[in-house]
Amino acid sequence: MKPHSAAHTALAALTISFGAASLCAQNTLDTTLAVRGRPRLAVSNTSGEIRVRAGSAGRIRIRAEYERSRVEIDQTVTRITVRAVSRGRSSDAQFDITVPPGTVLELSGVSTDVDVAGVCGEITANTVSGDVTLDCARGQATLNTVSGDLTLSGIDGATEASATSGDVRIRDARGPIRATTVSGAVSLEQVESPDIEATTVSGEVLYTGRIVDNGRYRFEAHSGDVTVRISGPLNATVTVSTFSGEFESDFPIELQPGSRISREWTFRQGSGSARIRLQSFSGTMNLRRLSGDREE
Amino acid sequence: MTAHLNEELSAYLNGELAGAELERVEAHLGSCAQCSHVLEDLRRVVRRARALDDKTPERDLWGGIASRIGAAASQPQSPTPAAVLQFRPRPRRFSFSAPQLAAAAVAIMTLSAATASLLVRSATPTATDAARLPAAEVRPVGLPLQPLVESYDAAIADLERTFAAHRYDLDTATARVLEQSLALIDVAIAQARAALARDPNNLYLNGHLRSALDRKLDVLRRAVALPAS
Amino acid sequence: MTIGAHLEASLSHSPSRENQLAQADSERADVALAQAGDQHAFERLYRIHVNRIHSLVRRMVGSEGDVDELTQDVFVRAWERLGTFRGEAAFGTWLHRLTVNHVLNWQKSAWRERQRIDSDADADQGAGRSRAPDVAMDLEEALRLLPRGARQVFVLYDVEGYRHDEIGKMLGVTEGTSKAQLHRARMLLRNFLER
Repeated sequence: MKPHSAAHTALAALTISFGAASLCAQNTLDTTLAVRGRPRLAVSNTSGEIRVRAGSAGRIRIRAEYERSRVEIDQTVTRITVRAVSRGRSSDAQFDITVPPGTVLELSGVSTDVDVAGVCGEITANTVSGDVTLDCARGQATLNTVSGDLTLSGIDGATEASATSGDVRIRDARGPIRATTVSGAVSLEQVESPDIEATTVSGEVLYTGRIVDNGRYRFEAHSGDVTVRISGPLNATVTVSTFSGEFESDFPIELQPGSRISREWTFRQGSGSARIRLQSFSGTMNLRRLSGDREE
Repeated sequence: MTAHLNEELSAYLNGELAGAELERVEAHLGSCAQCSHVLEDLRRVVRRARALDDKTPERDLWGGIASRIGAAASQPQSPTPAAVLQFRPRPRRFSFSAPQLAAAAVAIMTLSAATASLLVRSATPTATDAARLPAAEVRPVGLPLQPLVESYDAAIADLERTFAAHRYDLDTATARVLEQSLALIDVAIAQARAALARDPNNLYLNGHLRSALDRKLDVLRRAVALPAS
Repeated sequence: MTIGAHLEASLSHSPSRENQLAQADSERADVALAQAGDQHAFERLYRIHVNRIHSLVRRMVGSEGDVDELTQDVFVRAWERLGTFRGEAAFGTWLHRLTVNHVLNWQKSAWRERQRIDSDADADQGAGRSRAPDVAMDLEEALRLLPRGARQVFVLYDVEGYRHDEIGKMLGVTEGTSKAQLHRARMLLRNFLER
């Protein structure tokens, strides 16, 4: 199939529908669309995978293998929409898409794994039971799943990651982070951000990274443990709250006058400019120091 | 051949033998079919003992226990600001003692130890410490939480009804994950509420309850918005 | 195997380690609440542990006493003694030890003493064997036929995983006696089970 030029469709949206010759047969498509500037791509799927990689500027190549479904592609000047439309149960579609670097992605699926690498743009991804793996994003990254895991790395921008039973793992990130799950773990590693909120109910929270002066940090669990491993200098006012949990610290603790109310402690480290809240109703909270690259 | 083995068989099974005695028993077992046979029987007995399953009592025993501890429990039912002091004293494990912590309320205390470790709950004031604690230790905050919690309850009940109608549109695995997660949050909410009943002015507990309620709302909102499978 | 490990293994109803950890943490909160007088929290603890404790009591008392009543006694005792639980071991381990002590004390009481003598005399005369049916038995049933001393040591060592030195202290006997009773129990059970 020949590339469709966006210029030709400036006024009228182009819709291509790839139907299945037979319901059970596996179908394939391979099409390349010409795009301009920083395009926006939306892909929705029911079951299967959405895999997106960075390719060359000016074109989006969509390859798909699908059965018991059809694929629809809509293109306007600014936006390309790809949909796998299920025809009955156990439909399946595997998308393998290359996009210009920086493409804005809106990906969604039910039992669909999402795997994005090297695109380094804004992204929104929602799945129900699939995993989301993301390597490199700039700007806003918003990711949601119910039972899948979220694994993100190389994020330079604001991250919002929410799971229910799955884990949220974020590595090598800068910018504000909101990471939350219910029974899964939240793990943030090699992070340098002035604004972090990481919460879970029964899972554990693990943070490894710097505490930026004047930053705001909240690490919260209900029954899980909370472990914060700090690299670099620490200038923070730390508040530890619990009901029946425990707290352990590698840092010398200075309790502030009047700082102890019930099961809440506040102490200052260095200039005290950053604010850290460690909360676990019944788990153990650890405040640890990373010395060099070696954990103590 | 030496006399048949007796207690040595159990000792051998338990790994209690060593040296010459172990050699002697193993040599005997190598040449005596009867003792080897008994050893295998004993091994089976031990294996069965380790595999025993626990069984549920035929009748629920809680009623009898509840009536006995109900009579014994003389804790006040209405929460009072002093409730926080009614926690039973517990021995402490780490560096801080309760009197030290009480002192810390009026003076800065610095620990220079490389690892300062404290068991937070251990610092719950003991009955004797309670008398020494400054009154400011239990600070009445008077949070207007109750109306807030009621509006949460109403919103949650609405969403629960919607979710109950929607759950059959979801695949069973997803519905189960959501229900298990909601149940986990419910435990968190119940525990936070129970803790608050003891210590109603505790800022952390109030915040924690709100956070758990927020979490439940959030999961329910996401659940009802999920696409049907 | 340590007692803790043995106990935790027996307590694990759910396969996932994460769930177990969450359960342990949730249990810690319930222990703290129960210590503060929250009966609902104590009921949750009861629900988690009742099967384990009831089974332990049943095996230890054999046919000597009312297992349900003793189990209730154990939980009432646990409620009364919660203030002494220091959180150094798992709550389940603490409760388990409390159960063993409670049952042993109950068995040691003067009222039970006469029964013990009768029971030991039976077994020494081989009466235990003659009472056993001629078919292979369930281990639980066979346990009931053991003389008390042998049953106690067998349950504590082979079922519950205590060591001989611990059992000796609990029962007030020497390690040698504990070892001899264990072997005696195993040999009797072999006869009951392998017929």
